[in-house]
Amino acid sequence: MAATFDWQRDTGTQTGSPTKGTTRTTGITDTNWKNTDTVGTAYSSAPITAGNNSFEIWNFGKFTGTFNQILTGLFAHTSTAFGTGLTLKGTPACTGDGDRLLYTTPSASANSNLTVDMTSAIAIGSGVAVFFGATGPEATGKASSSTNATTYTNYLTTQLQTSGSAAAGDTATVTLTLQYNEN
Amino acid sequence: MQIFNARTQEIEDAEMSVDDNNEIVATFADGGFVKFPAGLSEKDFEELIGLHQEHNEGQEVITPEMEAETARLRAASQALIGGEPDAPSNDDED
Repeated sequence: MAATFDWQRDTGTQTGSPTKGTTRTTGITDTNWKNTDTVGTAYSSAPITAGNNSFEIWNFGKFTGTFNQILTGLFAHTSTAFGTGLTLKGTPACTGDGDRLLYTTPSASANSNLTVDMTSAIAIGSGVAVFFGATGPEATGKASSSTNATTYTNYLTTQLQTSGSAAAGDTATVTLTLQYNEN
Repeated sequence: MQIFNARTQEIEDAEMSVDDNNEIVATFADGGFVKFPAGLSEKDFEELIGLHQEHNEGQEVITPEMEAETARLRAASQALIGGEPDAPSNDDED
């Protein structure tokens, strides 16, 4: 038996303490940076004007199914370069419970908490550390491993920032990888 | 101004500007850039520049040339065994 993994995303106004999104969407199959945080809006209907930024995307992973432990999480942009005029910023490493990003209402302003430059593809081994815990990505108690029957990562937030030299049209399709061990 | 460039993993001269959103943009010679939010104090700005280097130093950058070489090797190995090349990835909208 193995763990079952699901990408999920929080959107909408921040709520609660610790903060999380008003809406939690399960079964996320793609991550398109756009000028809205609404999951159901096609990116072509919410384009980012060159020089502006996307809304942040607050993705996270959820593990259910049969496993003893989830551990050793890493997150990185691992394949395909972005074109000119594009910078992808992302969550810093989570190496302590206090490091986990707290949800803020998505906007197109540059998010100063996203300090990792994920523009270049890098080896997953040099990706940012990911922590795991129960209840949700926002919850306290994140650690480097989790034995909870339902386990979540911390928020794996990203934002696409552009300059005036960004080309019109779609960006390259890039790969963001969440690597973890299970036993 | 000297700022760490994550793509090259070097501290480089960056051309500084303020964009239409009042955000500070540091642009490197290779065309890459780093943005800083509007409304920062001088202390905040210096801290973010330091954090930028701290959080990005040590990345094992995979250049487009390295990716192309990996793809070439994979295609060559697949050809030797009569395998099919990798299918292109999907790019569906939400």
